[in-house]
Parts: sequence; C-alpha cells; structure tokens
Amino acid sequence: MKAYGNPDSLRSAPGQVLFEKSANGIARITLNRPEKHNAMTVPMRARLMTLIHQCEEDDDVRVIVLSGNGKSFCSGNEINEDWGQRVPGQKRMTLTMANRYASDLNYGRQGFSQALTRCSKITVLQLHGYCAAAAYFMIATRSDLVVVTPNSKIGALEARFLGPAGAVSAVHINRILGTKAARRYGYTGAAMSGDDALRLGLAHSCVSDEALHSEVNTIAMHIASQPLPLLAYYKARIRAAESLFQTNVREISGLLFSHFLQADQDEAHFWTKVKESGVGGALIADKARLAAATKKVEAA
Amino acid sequence: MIHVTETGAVATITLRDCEPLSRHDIDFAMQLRDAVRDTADSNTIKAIVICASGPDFSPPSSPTDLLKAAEMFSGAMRHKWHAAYCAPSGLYQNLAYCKKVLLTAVQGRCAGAGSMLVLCSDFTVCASRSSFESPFATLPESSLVLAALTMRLNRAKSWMLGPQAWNSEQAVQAGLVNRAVDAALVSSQAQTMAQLAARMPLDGIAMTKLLAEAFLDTQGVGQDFDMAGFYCDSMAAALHARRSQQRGASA
Repeated sequence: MKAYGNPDSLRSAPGQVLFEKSANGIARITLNRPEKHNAMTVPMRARLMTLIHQCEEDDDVRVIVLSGNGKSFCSGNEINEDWGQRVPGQKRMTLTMANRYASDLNYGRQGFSQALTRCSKITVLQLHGYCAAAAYFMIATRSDLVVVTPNSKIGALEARFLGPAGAVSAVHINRILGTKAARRYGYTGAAMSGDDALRLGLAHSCVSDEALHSEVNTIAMHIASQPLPLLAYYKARIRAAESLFQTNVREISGLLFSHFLQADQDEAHFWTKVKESGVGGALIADKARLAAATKKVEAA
Repeated sequence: MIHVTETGAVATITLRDCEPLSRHDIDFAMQLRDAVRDTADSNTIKAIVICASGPDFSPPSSPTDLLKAAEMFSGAMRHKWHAAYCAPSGLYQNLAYCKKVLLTAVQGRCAGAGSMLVLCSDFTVCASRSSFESPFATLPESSLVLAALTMRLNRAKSWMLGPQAWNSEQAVQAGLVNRAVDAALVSSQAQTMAQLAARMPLDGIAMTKLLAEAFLDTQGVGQDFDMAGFYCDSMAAALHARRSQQRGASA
C-alpha cells in the first residue's frame, strides 16, 4: 500500500523508531522522538509494523521489547499531522479517508495495533512516564507483558478534549481492566499510575525508574532462553484466546467518526487552537478555558 | 502473472488461474494480496473484479504439490504460510474484509483456493458449466464459518463432506454463486454487476463495508482465520493418509 505521510515525516521515521537485535534473541524497538514525548506519526507506525513483521520472520528473535527514549514511553499518535490527507478545497475529511486513517493506519486489520496483537513473538513493553491515548490502547493493552514504574501516567488522557473514542469500548481494555475500571478511566481521562496499573492487572510488574531497564532485561532474557517451538506454542494459545475474546472486532469507530463529523464546541475549540499554536498551546488554552468556565459557575 | 486494469470506478485483477494459491505459492499470494489491497485503497475505485485468463478459474493442484505444501504449513514455514494466507494483513482477510465491493468471475473448474476467493467475494458470476469443489479437503486456511454464512450451515457441511463437486446450478441454489450464465457472457456480466455496485457513492461503500465487516466479525470469520494454525497438522496427516490410500489402491 502507498506509504502515507509528508516528505519530512517519511524521511524522519527510520531515526524515530530504532531497531536493535542482540545475539541472545532479544529485539528492541525504541521510539526516539523525545522532543514530542515520542508521539507517533503515520510513517513511524508504518515502520513499527514493518519491524514487527521482520521480527516474526526472524527465527533468531524470540522476544520483542518495546520502549521509548526521553521522559516518556509515548504520548500517543501525532494529532497535528499532515499524512497526505489534505485535498485542496476540501474542508473536512471524507469517510473514505477517515476509514483509511482509523483502520489501515491504526486499528484495523492492516494497522500496526493488529500486527502487535497477533504478533507471533512474545512482546514486552518497558513503560515509563506518559503512555497516553493511542499508546495506551494500541500498544500497552496489546503487549504480552507490561513493566511500569510508579511514576507512569497511563490512560486515555486525550478524553478531556477528544472524547473517549475506543478507550471505553475497546475489547482489550475491558478484558484487561474490567468494565468498571475501563469506563472510569475512559470517560474521565484520568491517568493510571504504575501502582494502579499493577493493581488492575494491566502491568506484569512495577519497579522504580532506576530498576526498569534491568527488570525488563531479566524478563526478556528468561523468555529468550525458552525453546522457540515452546514460545510459538504459547503465542498460538494466546492468539486463540484473544480470538475467542473477539479482540479482532472493530473497536475504534468513535475515532473514525470524530474525524468525519462536525466537531462539537469543546472539540472545535481545541482544534482551532491546535491550528493556531500547536498541541501544547491548545492544551494550555483548554486549561484556561475550563478554569474560566469553572470560575463562572462558582460565581453564579 | 497478475494484471490490474481500471475502467472508471471498476478495477479488474486478472490472473492466469488460482492454482498457485492452492499449492501455497507464498510469493503469488502476496502479489495478489498487494494487488487487492492497493486497488481497494484507491480513492477512485469502488468495485474490484477478480477473473482468470486460463480455461479454469482454479484447477486442482496435483497431490504431490499439495503434500509439499503440507510439509511447509505444518513445519518451519508455518509462520510464513499464516502471515500470507490467514493473518489480518494476509490474503484472505484482505479479500473477505475488502474496503470495496469484490466480485469473482468464474470460468471452468473452481477448486481449492478459487473456492475460497468465491467465499470471500461479495458477488460471483460463473459459467453454466462451471464446477465448485470444496476447499476444506486441501486448505487448512479455508473458512467453514464463511461457507456456513454464505450458504447456511448444513449446506456447508454437505459441500465439505459430499463426494462430488457442485455444478453451477447447485452453487446458485446454495447461494454460493449469484448468477450462472453462458461462458461467453461471464466477463461482461461480472463487469455489469460491478458497474451497478459502483453507482453507490464512495463513502456509501466505505460505510456499508464497515458495517459488513462488523457483521462478519461478530459471526466469527476473523476467529476462524485466527484458528487456522490449529488445523495444519491434522490437514497434513490427512493428505499423507490420502496419498497412502491412493498408492494402496493403485498397487
């Protein structure tokens, strides 16, 4: 399929998603866009998918470790991005384009979240700092083992300005957290700490920031020491169980429609500010707008 | 080996025949997957017709080729087989969940993978002398769920367990095929049906296919493909047993 993106994001992707394979069967995929908390562009996600497929075909790889450079694992998808969808004279995205973005470039059968979910190799996520939005429901809830730190901030943090989309309805999130917790974190946009993630069952272990790398290494080395057929057997069982849980069912129609339909006032305000001053500026403006609204209510 | 042409909003993918798919030619499967995926991603294409230039849409593979294939999908190459045929990004899920309306135009015999292409497509036009063999005896990636949804459960069982291929009349009656016409008219009928489907607005097709995808998913089509890896070993054993039986009979 056509490689979507703009010349800059396409050119940058190889340096923003690093790959390293060690002799002991551990492959490391590292997000490397620290200045943006590793927000993933369309070409970055395409590269992630390519690397996952590459690891699947490589008999030397027994386990894949996902991590991020900088202060956070990943803040989600890059939302202020031209990925080739802009058509001169067209005011809003068509459903065909929204479907391409939501399905093919993200959550559908062609998207990388499915490549991760149904990966034939064991995946371990090394999670620190923010793991928000798409990173939460496309990576954290799709990896086999998740190792966090107490300072982690995990969840559908974008729900404050973009709506909960798949964060409430995603089959994975409901299976992993339980329906009440999935809804609480989905609708409120609250951040789950590392301890919360461990208590709710998302995380395999929670260790200090200093111990994170070594904890993940220990887990990865243990897995890599197992015979390949045994690991393949485990993954076949996991794939079958996930299939019976219907995790292949589309779960992100909310995002698709939010790209297609007219935005409500709150969201429209956010997007207007994104155009004016970028995502960071929009977040600050959003906070100010909410504070002003709260003050008004209190005064009344 | 695979040619793609476009006429207005209809794309036509022409193969010699589907036999390489039946004997698990991975490269061929990926070429066809790419052709379908790229065509479906076009902003101008609304319907896709798959047809064959050879006399048979999908002639059966030789027992020797099938045994070689069985060694592949039950051995070290299992991952490649699964990725090419069964995975979400593999051939059959790209067909069954295609973003555009998918048609198959069948001439002559239709066995193995050809029958899977028919099951995965939205419409099928065939020649009145075409025959349809069940894919279940040779392909572990074939979907019984898709067959049961297409022609109802007991008919799918009959097709799987029955001794003979179905003729075009039986295929139409079962709901496997929409229309059987004179061999000379198969191509034009398929193009006419594709043009009719292409009258729908592009976003209308996108929405309809999204809803159809949800329906197929809740009925277990994706699950059946996920489980294909579990059918491999028994399929390989079955092919070996059949080969021994045939040798015994000829000796």
